[in-house]
Amino acid sequence: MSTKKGNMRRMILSGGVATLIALGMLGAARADITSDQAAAILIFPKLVVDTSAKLGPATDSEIQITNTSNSVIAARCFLINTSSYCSNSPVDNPIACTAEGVANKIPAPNGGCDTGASCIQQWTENDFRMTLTKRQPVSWKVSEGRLSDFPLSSASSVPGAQTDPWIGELRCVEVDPTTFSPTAGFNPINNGAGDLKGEATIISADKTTGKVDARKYNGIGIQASGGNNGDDILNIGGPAAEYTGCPNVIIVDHLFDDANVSTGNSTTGTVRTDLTLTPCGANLNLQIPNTVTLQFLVFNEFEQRFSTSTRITCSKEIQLSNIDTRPTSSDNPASIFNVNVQGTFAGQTRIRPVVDTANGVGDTILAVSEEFWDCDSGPIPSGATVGRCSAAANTHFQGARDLGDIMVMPGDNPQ
Amino acid sequence: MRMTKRNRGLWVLGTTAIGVCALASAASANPTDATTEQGGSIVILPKVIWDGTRDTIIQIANIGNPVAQARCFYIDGGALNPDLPPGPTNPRLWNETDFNVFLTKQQPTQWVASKGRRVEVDSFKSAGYGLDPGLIPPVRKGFMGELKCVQVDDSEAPVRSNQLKGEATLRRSDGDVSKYNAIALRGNPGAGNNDNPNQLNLDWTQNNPGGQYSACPDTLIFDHVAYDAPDLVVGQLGTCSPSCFGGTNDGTACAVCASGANQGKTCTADTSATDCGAAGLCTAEDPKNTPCTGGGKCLECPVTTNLTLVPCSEDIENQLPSSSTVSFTIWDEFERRFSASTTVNCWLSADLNQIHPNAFSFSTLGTFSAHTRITPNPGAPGVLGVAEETRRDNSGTAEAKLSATAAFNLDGEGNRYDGSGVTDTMILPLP
Repeated sequence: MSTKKGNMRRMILSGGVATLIALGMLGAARADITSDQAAAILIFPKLVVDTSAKLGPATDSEIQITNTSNSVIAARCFLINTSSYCSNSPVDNPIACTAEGVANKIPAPNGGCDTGASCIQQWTENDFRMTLTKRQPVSWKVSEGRLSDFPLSSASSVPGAQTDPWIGELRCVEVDPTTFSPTAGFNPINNGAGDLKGEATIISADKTTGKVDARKYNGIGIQASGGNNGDDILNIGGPAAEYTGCPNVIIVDHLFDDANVSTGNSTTGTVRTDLTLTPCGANLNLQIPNTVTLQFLVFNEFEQRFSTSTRITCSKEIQLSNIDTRPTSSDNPASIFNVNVQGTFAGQTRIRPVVDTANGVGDTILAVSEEFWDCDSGPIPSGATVGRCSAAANTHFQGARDLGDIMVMPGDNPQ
Repeated sequence: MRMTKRNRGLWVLGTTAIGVCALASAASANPTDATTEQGGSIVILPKVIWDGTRDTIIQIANIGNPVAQARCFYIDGGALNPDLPPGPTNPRLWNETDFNVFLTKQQPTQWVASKGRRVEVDSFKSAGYGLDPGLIPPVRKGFMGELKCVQVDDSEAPVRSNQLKGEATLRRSDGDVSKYNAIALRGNPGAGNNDNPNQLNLDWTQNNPGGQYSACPDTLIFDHVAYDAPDLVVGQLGTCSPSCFGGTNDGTACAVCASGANQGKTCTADTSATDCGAAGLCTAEDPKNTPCTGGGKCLECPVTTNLTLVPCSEDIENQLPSSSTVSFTIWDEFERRFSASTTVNCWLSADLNQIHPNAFSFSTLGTFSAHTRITPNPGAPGVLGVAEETRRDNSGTAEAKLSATAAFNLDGEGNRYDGSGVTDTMILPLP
């Protein structure tokens, strides 16, 4: 009898354990990136510095980061340069370029390259530390950083962008303020999911016309999900998750490129949408760029479905109409992201990274979208250029992956 | 003995697994929380404007494969007398207009608030081309308020399958645009309806798994620039010299020499200006001093922030607007704390300096960046909101021409149901 009881107890216990482990796996696989709650990893996929107006209007970015908890926290941050430079640039004076600039034959140094040169993307990072006291916000211009006047922490210092023009991203990881090892958050209200939040504002200004443009988005947060072993390999989702997983699908509602939208007061003008996509996983230690293949499903207002695909390495900003065509403006009317193909104004695009188990750091992505509106049709002061009215928005997401992503940080302590 | 050991091992393993699972589930973001990045069963656009200068482009989409139907409500938060500020003697209208939208599999749709959308045959590349989601009425000129959409079934009873998402783009007549995501309240698919199916309880939390819809956040959090702080970027890249903002001599240069041979005299540049004399420094004048008159302030490309808040509880059936008194705690970059409070009656859209003249201001905080936490008072309904930042060049006279707006969503922390014991409810009119 007692053996029977024991066996039954063992079976119940074993079953319970299996169920709990399965539930745990499910929980670990859930995607919980967030742009509206504090988190332990904070990512700004797109930042721009172009103070001398080489690639467009004079532009700089402002970063705001806050400790939302009542405890002192610290962060290790990585300012990643994803700018592209002409292959024939002098080493000490790189000429910035864009794929669109080269394709549209814009002369160097205003986005294109001299004949024969190609536009090559960088992926280099500068890392820095910061310590934030209770509820402390901090802000800086990306062009300058905050080297000497970091409030309340003389040990904290933020470098400026490595070059100008500069396009890149910023990643910050919450760490223990004493050991600077990765850690969960300290705020019991969100169950230790992390204490960092932030916003990025990309601002353009023109001394000649006085025109100002600004767009703002929330930093994308990846929340801590329980045990963190404190090493520099961050498991984002998956069976050994230290952080919640990145999404299975990104959803972007957008207006199709070149839709001529008329609003009240007879304001008209066309719109285009750019996506900035960055892989969730990254090996910052070995500086190995991550490549992800993306499948796009595009729905118009007739529920008609189209699809296309592309591949990104490191990070990519791309106009929707350039995803399935060459990056020349003349090809845009033939894109499935263009109103000339779809006919309707609104579209919904679902972006699904292709599962790639051979990829060492994971296959999911994060994104932010930007709209650029043609201001010329409205009563803009003379001299203003096209596309000076912009807005940014965080994207939506859905689902999770069984396999997680990995972010590998370079060692922080001298060996 | 061996059995006991094995059992003990299993117990330990089981307990560990329970602990791991509990930690994992507790530490993960709560799937019941209000969200701006996932689909929901109620979507709320807190700031919809058509005032003759700014209009709003609304995008709603069905992110699921089954068809989705929604009852939508424009709620007009404009003041009875638009020429006077809202207050006890000039209440907000709080009129609602409802309409239905019907979306097929994965269908996006859009309309402009001032125009609505008709059900008619439209030409290729025109605004109305596509499956019309239904007749969507335009809002009146002068409308300022919110749009709420609740997912329903064919009988117009609420359903909670979380298929709705949305965005709003505020566009000014000069082309400036500002965009934010709709706030989605997620519905609990396993929950039943109330006896009155049109009463929606916002009480779904991890601690209340039988609740119906996401409880509103207990605290809203947002980072902002200290009100009227000089713009770091426009100051560098644009034209940014001190001038009067507002008042009777709006736009007049107002800098004075803070040092140098001409100390105290008006100057024209914002750095070591030659007209201040050797090593002189030309700075913005003290805001309290002339020459800015009639309430104008002497500022350098000030950054301002507007905050829009709506109560979570609303009784649209009985036209009973909700009111919530909220407290603000503000931290500057030196961890100094300030506070303020205000009451959200139906709909609040105010610049931060209208909520409190000093607590958010650069002259008080002294640092560029600030962190603000918004908490409804005990027992008060929760609130949801969106913020909008304005950047401008130096001329205060031509704000509409020389400024740019950027909207952004607020963060949430905790929930009202668990944190404060408040159950917000929305009561829809009978269909």
